[in-house]
Amino acid sequence: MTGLASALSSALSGLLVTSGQSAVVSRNVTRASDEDYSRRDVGLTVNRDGTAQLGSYTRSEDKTLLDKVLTAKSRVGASAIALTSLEILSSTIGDPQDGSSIAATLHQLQQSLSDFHDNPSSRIFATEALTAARSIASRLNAAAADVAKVRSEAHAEAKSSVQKINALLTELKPVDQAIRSGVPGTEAYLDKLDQRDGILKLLSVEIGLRTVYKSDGGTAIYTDGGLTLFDVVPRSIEFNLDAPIVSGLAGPSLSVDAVQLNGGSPELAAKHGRLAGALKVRDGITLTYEAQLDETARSLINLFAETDQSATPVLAPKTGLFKYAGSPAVPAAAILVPGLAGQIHINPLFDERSGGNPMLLRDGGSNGMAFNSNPAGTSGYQQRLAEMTAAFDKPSSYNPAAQLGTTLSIKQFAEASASTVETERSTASRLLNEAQATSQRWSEVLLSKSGVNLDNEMASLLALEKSYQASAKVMTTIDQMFGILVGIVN
Amino acid sequence: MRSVGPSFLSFQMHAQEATRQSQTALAKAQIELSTQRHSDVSLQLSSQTGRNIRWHAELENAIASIDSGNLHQTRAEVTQASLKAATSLASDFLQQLVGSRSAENGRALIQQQAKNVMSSLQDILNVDVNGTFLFAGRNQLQTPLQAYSGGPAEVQTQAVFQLQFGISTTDPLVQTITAAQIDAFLNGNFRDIFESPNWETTVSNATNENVLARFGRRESIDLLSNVNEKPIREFYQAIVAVIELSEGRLNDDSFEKLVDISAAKVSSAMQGLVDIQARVGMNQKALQNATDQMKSRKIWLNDAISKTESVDTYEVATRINQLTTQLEASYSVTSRISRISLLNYL
Repeated sequence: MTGLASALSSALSGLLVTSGQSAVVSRNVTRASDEDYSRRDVGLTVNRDGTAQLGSYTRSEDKTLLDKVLTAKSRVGASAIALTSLEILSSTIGDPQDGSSIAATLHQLQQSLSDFHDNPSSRIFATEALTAARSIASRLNAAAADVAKVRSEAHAEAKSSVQKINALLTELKPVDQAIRSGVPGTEAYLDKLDQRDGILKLLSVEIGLRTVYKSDGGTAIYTDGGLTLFDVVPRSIEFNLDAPIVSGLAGPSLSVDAVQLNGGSPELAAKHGRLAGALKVRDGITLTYEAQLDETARSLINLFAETDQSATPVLAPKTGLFKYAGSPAVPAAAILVPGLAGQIHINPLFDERSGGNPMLLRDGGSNGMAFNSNPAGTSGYQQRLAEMTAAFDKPSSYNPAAQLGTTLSIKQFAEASASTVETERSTASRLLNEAQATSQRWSEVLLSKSGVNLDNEMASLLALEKSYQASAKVMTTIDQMFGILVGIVN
Repeated sequence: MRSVGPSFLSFQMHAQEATRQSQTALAKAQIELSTQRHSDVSLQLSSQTGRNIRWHAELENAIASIDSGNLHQTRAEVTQASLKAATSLASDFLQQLVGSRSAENGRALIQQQAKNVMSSLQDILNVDVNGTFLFAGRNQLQTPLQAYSGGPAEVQTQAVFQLQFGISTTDPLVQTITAAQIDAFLNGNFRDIFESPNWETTVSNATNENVLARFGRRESIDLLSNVNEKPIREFYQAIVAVIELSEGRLNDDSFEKLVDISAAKVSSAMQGLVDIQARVGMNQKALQNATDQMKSRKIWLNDAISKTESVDTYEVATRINQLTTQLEASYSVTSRISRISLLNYL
C-alpha cells in the first residue's frame, strides 16, 4: 500500500512540476516580443522520497553583452543629436549648385560690384549690387537665427535629458532596493532584474554609463566620465533650467554632487549619450559656427566701411553699406562681436526702397561729405568700386575663435566655414551609422542569448506535454491498481 | 533546456533593419538616377564643399564675364567705328582744304564744308551706347562735345582774335593781317583755346581718364578713347580756324598760310587717330584673349564640377538592380522563415 501511495504522490508532484514548467514556457512565449525580457528557466529538485518540486528560477543573462549594448546605445544617442543639429546648420549652406550659401552670395556680390564698376553711371547696376548686398545680409541673419534655434533646441534637449535621467535614477532606487533585499531565484526577484536592465538601457541612451554589479546584488552607476550617478541612492544632476542661452557664451553648466559634468575638467565630462551630444552641440559646434558667421559679417562691414577722404584725414572710419547695432563705429579687426551676424543690415541711405541712393556705393559719403571719394560727382568714377571689388580677395585678420585660421580673404573664410560644417556633418553621419550598426549587432547578440526562441519553447512544451501524459498515465494505472485491490477486498 | 539559435526578437530585428537599410539606399539611388548627381552632394563633398561653392560661383561669374565681355567688345567696336569715321572725315576735309586753294570760290566753299565737317564730327564723337557717351571719359552721362556754333568755343575764338588784332573776324581790315601774323596767331593764343584747361571749359565735357573694363577681375582694360585726346583737339581747331578765318577777307598769302597750317594739323590728327585705333584694337585683342581664357575656364569648371558632383549613371542603375533584388530576396526570406515554425507541425 505504501508503495502505491508514494507512487501516486510522486506522480502528482510530476503533474505539479510540469504545470509549473508550462507556466514558465507560457510566460516566455507571451513576452517573446518584449526586448527587456530575459528568457526564464526553472530548475527541478528531487526530494528524498523521490517526489519532485519546482526549483529556483533562472534568467538567461550576460552582463558583458549588456554593457556592450549600453555603450553602443549611448554612442547612438550622442551622434544622433549631433547629426540632426548639423543637418540644420548644413541647410544654411545647401547644395553648392544652388548658390544659396553665404560664400556663394559673397561671390555674387563681388561680381555685381565688378559689373557696376564697368558701368559706373548705371543706376541699374547699382541697384543690382544693392540687391546682392541685401541678400547676403538676409542670409547672414537667417543663418544666425538658425544657429540660435539649434542652440536653444540643444539646450532644451539637454534639459529634457537631465529630467529623464533624474526620473530614471529615482525609479531605479526601489528596484535596486528590492534586488538587494530580495531572494535570488524567485520570480519576483527576476522581474526586478528585468526592470533594472530596462532602466539601464533607457539611461544609457541619455548618458554614457559604467555599471558595477556589487556582491549584494545592488548596482552602482557612474557616468563614462567617472561621476557617480547611483549608488544605493540616486544622485541628481543639478542644472539651472531657466538660465538663458547667450550668443558667444557657453550655456549653463551641469553638475553632480557639485562636480561639473560639462565645462569643467575634460576628463570628467560626459562623453556619450543624448545629454553629452546635446551639450556638445550647444557649447561646441554651434558656438564655433556662430563665431564664423559673426566674423563674416564683421569682415563685410569693415570691407564696406567709409574713410575720411580729406587730404589730412582726422575722422575715424564709419560703417557704410552694411550697418549693425554699433554703427557708425567700425568694429575692430579680428575682434569677435557675438550676435553680429544677426544684426547686420543694409544702410537705408543706400536703399532705394527706403528712399536712399544706391549710387552712394560708387562714391561713398553716406556719413557726410568728408567721406565722399567722388566730391565732383563724376558719373564714371570707378576708384572706390575697384578697391571694394579687389578687397574681396585681399587677406584680412580673423578671430581664432572661428577656428578657420587668422589671415585669409573673406571669400576663403566663408568657403572654409562651409567646408567645416559639411566635414562635421559627414563625420557625424559616419559615426551615427557605425554606432547604429554596432548597437544593432550587440542587441542582436544579447537577444539571441537572453531572448526567447519560439521553436525552443514549443519543443519544451512538447516535452512537458509528454511528461504530463506520462504522469497522468501513471496515476490512472495506480487508480486501476487501487480499484483491483479494493475489488479483491470486497 | 537552453535557448539555441537566434531568439524570435533578434531575428525580427535583423530582418527589419536589413529591409529598412535597403529601402533607404534604394530611395537615394533613385534620386541619383533622376538628378544624375549625388543624393546629398554636400555630404559627399564634405571638406571640399567650400571649393565646389567657389567653382559654382566662378562658373556663374565666367558666364557673366563672357556676357559683359561682349558688351565691352560692342563699346570698343563702336569706338573703333567712330574713330574710323572721324579719320575718313579728316581725310575728306584735307582734300577739300587742298582743293580750296585752286577752286574759284574756294574760300566760301571751304567755310561751308568746314561747318559741315564740324557738325559731322560732333555727331560722330557724341555717340552713345545704352545712354552712356563713349568719348566722354568718366563723365559718361554728358555729351563730350559742346555745340560750336553759339557755344563758348565760338565766343572764345572771336574774343581771342579781337584781343590779338584789335578787330573782329568780319572786319574788312582783316586783309591787312600778314601770313606771319596768322602763323603767330594760330600757333599762339588761338591754339591755347584747344589746350587744357581752356579746352575743358569751352569745348569738352570729358575727363582725360576713360571708364575701364574690369574684365574677369584681372587688371582693368581701357577700351575707349575720349575727345580730350590730342588728335581730336588738333582736328577740331583746324576746323574752327577754317570756319572763322576763311570768309574771304584774308589776303591770299595769309589764306595760304591758314590752309597750310590747318592741313598740317588735320594730317597730324589723321595720324593720331590711326594710332588711337591701333591702341584700342590692341586692348580689344587683350579683352578677346581674356574672354577666350574665360571660355576655357568655363569648360574646365563644368568638367571639374561634374567630376566631383555627378554620379555614374551606369553604376547607379546597376546598384538599383542589386538593391531591388536584395530587397525582394529579403522580403521572400522573411515571409518564408516566419512561416517555418514548429507551431505549424503540432
